[in-house]
Amino acid sequence: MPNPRELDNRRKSIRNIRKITRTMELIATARFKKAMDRASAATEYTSRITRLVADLTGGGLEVDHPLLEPRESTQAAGLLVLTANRGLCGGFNGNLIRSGVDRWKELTESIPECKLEVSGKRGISGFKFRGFEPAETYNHFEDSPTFDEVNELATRYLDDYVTGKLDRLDVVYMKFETIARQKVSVETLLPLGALATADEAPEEEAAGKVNPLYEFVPSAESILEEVVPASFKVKLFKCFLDSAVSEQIARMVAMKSATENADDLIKRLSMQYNRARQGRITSELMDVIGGVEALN
Amino acid sequence: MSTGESSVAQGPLTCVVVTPEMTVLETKADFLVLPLFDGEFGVDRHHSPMIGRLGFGELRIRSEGQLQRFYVDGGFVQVAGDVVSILTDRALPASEVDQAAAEAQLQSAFEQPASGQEQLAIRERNIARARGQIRVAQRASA
Repeated sequence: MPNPRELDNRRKSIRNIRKITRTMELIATARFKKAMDRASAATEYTSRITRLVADLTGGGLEVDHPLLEPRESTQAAGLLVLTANRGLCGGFNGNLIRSGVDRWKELTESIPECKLEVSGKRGISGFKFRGFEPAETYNHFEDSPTFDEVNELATRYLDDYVTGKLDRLDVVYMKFETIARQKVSVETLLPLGALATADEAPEEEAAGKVNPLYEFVPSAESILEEVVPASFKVKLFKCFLDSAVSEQIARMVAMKSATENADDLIKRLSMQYNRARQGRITSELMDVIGGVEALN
Repeated sequence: MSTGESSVAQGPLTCVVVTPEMTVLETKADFLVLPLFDGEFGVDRHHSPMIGRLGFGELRIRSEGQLQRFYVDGGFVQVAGDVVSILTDRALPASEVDQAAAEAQLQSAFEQPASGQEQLAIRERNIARARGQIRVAQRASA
């Protein structure tokens, strides 16, 4: 026979935990909305850059830039893994670290000089636990990374790439697809491969209006030279934004299921508690009735 | 220009300043001055379509007698019809530019050793940026 008081205590502590998880769910929801707003505010720049590139290349300009061409031999590579500073967000950090470690092993096997960079406390300790010491760590990227912070990193990568200290840069991050779908994405950001071109812009919009003849100051080539680094920076910034949004979603989902689980547990414990209480009352009654019977 | 005529609208220019983070400014303007890479560049209404590279300097927007000043950190400008889109990494009101920080940046840019074409270019860029900031800050405080 379980002790009703013990059951009641357990139920109480689960209620308290439920309160916490519920609050965390609400906080994550609020943060997610904020992060989402930031991410959608950032798409304006991307779409304008895309249009600019379309207008540039519309004049039959060859896109040719050192950042777009892969190097003949890759001597130095960098891997940047974006994780969260906090836990309690389901498989978010675990999945990222797993993919990060896989890619890191691949890189170290084929490329002589590799540099591991990890953002987020969880990722830092995860990599250390698995025996990989990151060369650089960042934990100042919270749920609203600013462009200035990312720009600092991006500028350093670009400078390293241009001066030949870096031949390749991979980024592991949680890509935001829809609210219901985020997945780990391993992307090679340097060399860029190809510029985002008009294919991504809405077709009908491009066809509908007559393309004005632009005057380029100083020249289309020179502008293109600046567009390529800018689009790299934006791409990297988008990784950070996606990661921030995905983290909040992951936490929201994890805390929602924790709250639901607590509800289930409370229900089950309540049932057990009531049964135990009733059982005790019944046995006490039986004692009394039995005693009366014996006296007769 | 014949191709431009269809897109020429009446009324003032529309000026849109966009950074990777957000749309900083969307306003009507009578006249504006852009900091192009090699000097200032004025845009009045009915300007021909143009794409230009921006430098580090001051963006001035005049609308209804009011003058707004911004610091613009490189980027691009696209003039199409009567819409002027400015894409830049950073845009902030001229009064918020930190002159002391810019001077420190200039100093560190000078001290940074540069060997080879690429590093020299990087240094040049840092110097130009710091000088642009100092210039804008001085004008704002004057």
